Amino acid sequence: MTDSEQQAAGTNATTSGVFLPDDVCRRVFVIIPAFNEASRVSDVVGNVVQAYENVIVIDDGSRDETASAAAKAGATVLRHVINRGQGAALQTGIDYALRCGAEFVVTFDSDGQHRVEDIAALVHPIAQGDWEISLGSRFLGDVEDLPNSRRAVLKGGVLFTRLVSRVKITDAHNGLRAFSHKAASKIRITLDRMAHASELIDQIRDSQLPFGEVPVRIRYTDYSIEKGQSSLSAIRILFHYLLKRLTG
Amino acid sequence: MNGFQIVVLPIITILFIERVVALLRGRGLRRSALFWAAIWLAAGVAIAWPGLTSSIARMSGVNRGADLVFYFAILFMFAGFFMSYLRMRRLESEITQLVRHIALTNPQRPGGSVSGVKDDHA
Repeated sequence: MTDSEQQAAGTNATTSGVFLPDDVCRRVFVIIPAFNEASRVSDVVGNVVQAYENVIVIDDGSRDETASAAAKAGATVLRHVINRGQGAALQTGIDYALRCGAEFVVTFDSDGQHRVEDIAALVHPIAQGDWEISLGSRFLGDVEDLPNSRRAVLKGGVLFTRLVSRVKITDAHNGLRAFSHKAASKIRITLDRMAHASELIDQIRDSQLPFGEVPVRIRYTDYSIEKGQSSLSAIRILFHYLLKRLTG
Repeated sequence: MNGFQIVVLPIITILFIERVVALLRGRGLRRSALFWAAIWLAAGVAIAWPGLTSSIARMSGVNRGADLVFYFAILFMFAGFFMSYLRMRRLESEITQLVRHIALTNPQRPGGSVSGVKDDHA
């Protein structure tokens, strides 16, 4: 593919110049959990479907038009009839993608924080057979307009993960990740709400599958900050995670 | 026997027997029935023989029988909270599995209209 063709194809190039062949792109399933995201999900899905035909939005009991907006934009929509949390929505999406024969499963946020271009960089090492799991890292890559309080909480999360989970990563709570079919089959998220991110790290460690971090760019906006977790909710997430560790 | 013992002991005895019968007939959770049978038995003994709690308290260094009962009550309360939490988590997990099953059996394909699933938040 020439540079101009790649530009025309548009979206799967990364800043590091990674491109995925079309046959790989067709085997990628992008999972987007969404809760009351009618105003954003259409743009997010619209951007992703330009490069990846298999986009799955899990409408997690939204009260607005998230489901219809996502379907119109080109996503397959799975609806949770009541809100079960991001962890539950991700597992629903993973189950569906595996049933559809996905070879690569990517998790992607619905609030517009992530860039479609970064998906290729995450899938590339898996397609090459180097890793089974790629984790996006904003601290290896770039982060725009990250409030200091949020930065402190995220860094605290990284420190906690290194101490408790004993996994040396730079960004423990980034929603942009990619899994091979094998890795996605081994993952089983049981913490329905936001503590799933820490549970995932534990399961990745326990699976002993090769993984690595990929620099990605995260763009914070007033919208994404408002939609995201408050810094204080980190305490609740920590409580749920520790209780899960305690009780199995 | 004082008035308090006359009123409360029969009630506790009935509650104890009910749990023992449930345990013997295999009704409900065996562990839960054992837990409650032990609680009612301990409560009955403490009320029937108040001096006994004081003796145990002195032996264990707590001094007052009432304090010993209070400490145990706090311990059992936390144990109860914890068991309720585990039960709630099991229920939450079952609800999620049900919600997931419904979602997976009704995928809405791209471009298609999303049929009206009842909005539980309305």
